[in-house]
Parts: sequence; C-alpha cells; structure tokens
Amino acid sequence: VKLNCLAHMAGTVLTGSILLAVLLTPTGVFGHGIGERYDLPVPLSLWLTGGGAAIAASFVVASVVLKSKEARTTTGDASAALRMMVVNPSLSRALQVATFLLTLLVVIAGLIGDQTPTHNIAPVMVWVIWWVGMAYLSALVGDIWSIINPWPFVFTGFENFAKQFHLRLHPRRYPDRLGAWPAVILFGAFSWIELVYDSRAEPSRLATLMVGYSIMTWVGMMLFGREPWLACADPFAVAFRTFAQFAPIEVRHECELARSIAWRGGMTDQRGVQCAAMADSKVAYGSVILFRPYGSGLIGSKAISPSMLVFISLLLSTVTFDGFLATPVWNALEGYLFRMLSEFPESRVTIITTAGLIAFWMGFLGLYLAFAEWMSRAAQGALSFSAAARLFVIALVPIAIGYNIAHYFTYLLTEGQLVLKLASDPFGFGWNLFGTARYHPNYELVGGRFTWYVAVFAIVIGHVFAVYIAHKIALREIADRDKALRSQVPMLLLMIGYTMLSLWIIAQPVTQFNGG
Amino acid sequence: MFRDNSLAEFGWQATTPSRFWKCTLKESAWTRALIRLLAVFLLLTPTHTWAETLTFEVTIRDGSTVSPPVLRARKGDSIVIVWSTDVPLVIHIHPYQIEQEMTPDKPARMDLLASISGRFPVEAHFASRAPGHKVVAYLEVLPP
Repeated sequence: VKLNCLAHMAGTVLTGSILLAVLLTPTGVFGHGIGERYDLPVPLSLWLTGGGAAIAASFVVASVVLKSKEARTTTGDASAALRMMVVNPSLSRALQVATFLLTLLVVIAGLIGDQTPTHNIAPVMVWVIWWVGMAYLSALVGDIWSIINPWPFVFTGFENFAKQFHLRLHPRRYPDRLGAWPAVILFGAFSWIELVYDSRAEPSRLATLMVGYSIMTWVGMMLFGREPWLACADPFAVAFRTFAQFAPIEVRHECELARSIAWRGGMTDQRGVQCAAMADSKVAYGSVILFRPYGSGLIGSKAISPSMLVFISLLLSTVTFDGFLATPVWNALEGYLFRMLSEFPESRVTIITTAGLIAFWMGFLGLYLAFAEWMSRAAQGALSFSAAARLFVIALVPIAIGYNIAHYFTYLLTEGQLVLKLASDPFGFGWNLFGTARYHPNYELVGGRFTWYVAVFAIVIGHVFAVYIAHKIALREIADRDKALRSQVPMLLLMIGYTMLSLWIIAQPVTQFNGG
Repeated sequence: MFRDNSLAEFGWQATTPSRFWKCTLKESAWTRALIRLLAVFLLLTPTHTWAETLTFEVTIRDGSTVSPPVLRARKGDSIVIVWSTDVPLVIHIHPYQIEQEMTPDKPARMDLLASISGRFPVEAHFASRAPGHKVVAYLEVLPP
C-alpha cells in the first residue's frame, strides 16, 4: 500500500507539472501541413440526393425491421459468431513489440528532431496514422488497438521485472462508482488538444504530452490494475472500443470484468468476478477473435452506464465539431466573438474555441436527453427515461462513423503519404534511409468526384445502420410492438437531424479563421 | 400523337407504347420520387467543358484580403493570378508546391495549371515580420 501511495503521489505531481509546463510555455513556431483538409464542398445536387436517400431509407428500413419475424433475436454474442479463431500469442507479442518501438521512435523524434511539423515523423504518426487511421480500423475492422496497444505491454514488462525482486503490486479494486468518468475527463482533455490547442502539431509538445500520458497510464495501472484502467480510464482504449462495437470482428479478452464496469456501471458479470479473483496470479490474457455482421455489436449492447453515455456523447460531438469548426458559419460566429473579446488579445481564439467545444458537447447531450424523454413519453410507459437514454445513444455511433469517414477520407490518403517521406528521415536531419526523402505527396490519389461520392455514401450508409440498430434495440427492449414503433418516431427524427447536420457540414467550403 | 393520356400528363416519352412502361416500371410515389431525384442530380452535375485560361487579380492590403476571394477553376484549366501587395510577402499554395516572393513595387504574376482538384488555401507569409500565415484566397479546382 505504501508503495502504491508513493507511486500515486509521485505520478500525479510529475504528470501534472509536466502537463502544466507544456501547456503554459508560450508557443514558438507553428507550422502547418498537418491538419489541413483540401476537400471541395459537396455540390448541391449530391447534397440533396444524399439527404433524400437518407430520409427515404429511414422509412424503408423501419418498415423492413418491423415486418421481419425474427426481430427479437439478438446478435453479437458468441453464438452468432460466424467463425472463431484464437489469436496467436506470439503474433500479438510481435505486434506489440513493433508498436512499442514505433512509439519510442515517435517520442524521440519529437524531442530531438526538427521542429517543423512536416519535417518530423511525430505529428503525422500521431494525428494522421494513429488517431485517424486507428479510428477507421476500429470502426471497419475491429478493436485492433486492444491487441497492439504498447502501454499495457510495457506495463506487463514492469510487472515481470518487479517480480524478479519479489516486489508485487497490489492493485486496489477499481471503484464501481467511478465508472468511465476518468475516461470522460481524459478524453475531454485530448479533444481540447486535438481541436483547440494551437501547438498540437509541434513535435516536442507532442512528445512531452506522450511522456505525460505514459506516466499517467502506468501509475493508473499500478493503482487499479491493468484491465480496469484500460476499460474505464484510458480515453483511447474506451474510444476505439466504442467505434469497434460497429466492426465485424470482435476482439474479446479473457477477463471481461473491467469492461462490464465501464459499460454497465457495475460488476454484473459472473465471469468478471472470477477473473478478479485470479487477476493477481496467472491469468494469461489471451484474446479471442469472433466474426459478426457489421453493427451487430451495437445491437447486442445492453443499457450502458451514465458515465459511458456521457463519454459517447463527448466522442460523437467532438467528431462533428471538428468539421463544424471549418464552416463559414462558425467562422462568422468566431469573428463576432473575436471582436467582442478585445480585452484578451492573446488568448481569445483559444477561449472562443474552448467555449464552442464545451457548448457543442452540452448541446448535443442536452438535445439527446430531451429526445430520450420524448421517446420515453412516446412509448407510453413501456420505456423509462433512464432506459431510453442509456439504450439508444449507441445507435448514433454509425452516424458518427459515417461522418468521420467522409471527413477524413482524402486527408488520410494525402497527408498519410507524408509517412513515406518521413520514414526515410524521421528526425528531419537530412537522412535518406530508404530513398524516399524527396517524395512529394500525390494530392490526387482519388478524384474529387470520387471523394464526394464516398463522403455522401458513407454518411447515408451510416444513417441506415443507425435506424436499423435503433429499431432492433427498441423491439428487443419493448415487448409491445406498437409502443416500440411509437418510441422510434422521436429517435428517427433525431437521427435524420444528425445525418442532415453531417451532410450540411460536408457541403460547406472548408474555411480557416483569419482573425478579425 | 399521344396514345396514352396518363403518360402524356406525366410528360414522359409519349411515342413509346404505354404497355412497355407499365410492364417495366411500376409507377408509384417511390419510383416517381427516385426518377425526379435522378433528374435533379443529372441536371446539376457539371458535365465536361473545354479547358480555359482564367485570369484572377488579387490585391493584398497590409498582408491580408478583407474576405479571401475564391478563385474557381476546373481541372485542366490554366490559371493566371496577378498579385499586388503593399508589403513584401511570400505566397504559398502547398499541394501545388508554389512558393513565390513578391514586393510592393511590382505586381507578381503566378502561372499554374489546375492539375489537382480540391479547395486549397492560398497562404501569405510575411517576409519580414514574425512567423505565422494568413489565408489571402482560396483556390477551388473542381473535378472535370
């Protein structure tokens, strides 16, 4: 206990002071390249087609689901899995070693390399390959991050090392009432860095933030155990797992204990309790991979905990806010507030964007809860407000995934190519290891028209999935078919509104704020 | 001329025997809506046009433009941008790998071929003052 206490204090103080030092030091050069999107606004005709298709599809899907006989079966359980195979432990070990070395390279490059964002491998690896790429992989393939995440891998190394000296860590039980709140706070901080913090692309800042994140993660794992920390407090593990609920591959770890705490707000899983008893000793964390149809993980999801509801609202609203920040409407609003806040000449853009981020999130959550109340009333007593709020937020995830694909499609394809160049010269020292240092990204890998079709298609398909999933959940949870259908009227309106917002954003010209 | 009144009303090819339409296309609200959407889509989608040479003039005052103009072209067009500025500047268009210095005394001419479609911020960096950039125009190259 003493060791834990000391580690906790040291960790908190160290992380806190590093983060403060990082954030408060005045910024030096701010380059660009990372973070610019060159997408053309989607033309009016496509916008109308997409919107019309989404609305038409809503009613078609709704009627198809209601007519289907086996509407009440759930999928996503192991029983519904098409095939099962066990992940090879040595393969996942090799992957973890590779991602660990890559992370180390990124941190070192950030600390000692050239500080121009496009001449250093750190910004492109963090913001394009990892953050955008991993979100795509999670949604379209599966929770790959839970297999290759290098932080728990290093932590297991620490544990084994400590055992050599007969030092054993005694993690305390993760308090149920904390739920996923730590992940909410940390993901909020991450979103602020991603969307507001203007030195986010500066290599040394990124590297320092990564060191701070590492210390925090390892101290957290030391205190509460590896799996509970990953499930409830680590913002990236929770975010990627949320997206991966949609994916066709389910990665299942042997101990589901922690997951049930974050997801359902309490240790309800009998297997989880057994795992907790063994967690200290010799449980091998083997992963199992199951195949399932797209979206079935979301249909199978039970009512989530309030903290997870808040987390998902934060995740979805930041995805949309990212696009909204580049619209002329936001620019006009920002310009207006910019002139009003003339007493704070240095920090006003930060103040405005921070306020916008929080307001957007609160607006999103408030609107969702209002619609949950409406759903509960529409169901005429068959659905409580709490159940409505905790059941249906999951159904909005595919819309956010569709928008995320539309938003980042060309960005990932073009800015991602910087990796080819930077692999030859990761530190910006003028090396040419693989002969690709002079590579200039091809900005037209796919045509502008193709990008439009992908964007609109992704959003409409996301919407169709969302409507389907929400109806499936309603039919499962509400015994009376008529009431189930009634509860879905408000939900359908909410989903159409959310999809229209996504389509509207991609039809806006990407605009940068120039000040004034 | 019209053999079938209901079709004439609807405005479709009246010379086609009505039976053909009735067999292949079940006329309902859905199909009608779909056909209309398709028509709107086809009408509003720009079709191929010949490559042109477009000339734009952009005036920069104190390192910025009041509201950045949008220079719109179609892929394959030749673009000439004539710049005039009252402060020394470096103008960038990153994906086009264009970087051009300019001074107040002579207008700068920028020639480029619209080879990449997209919406690109044209950025001005001050030659003398502190780092930082301002968007002085947007170059929009529409797909062919």
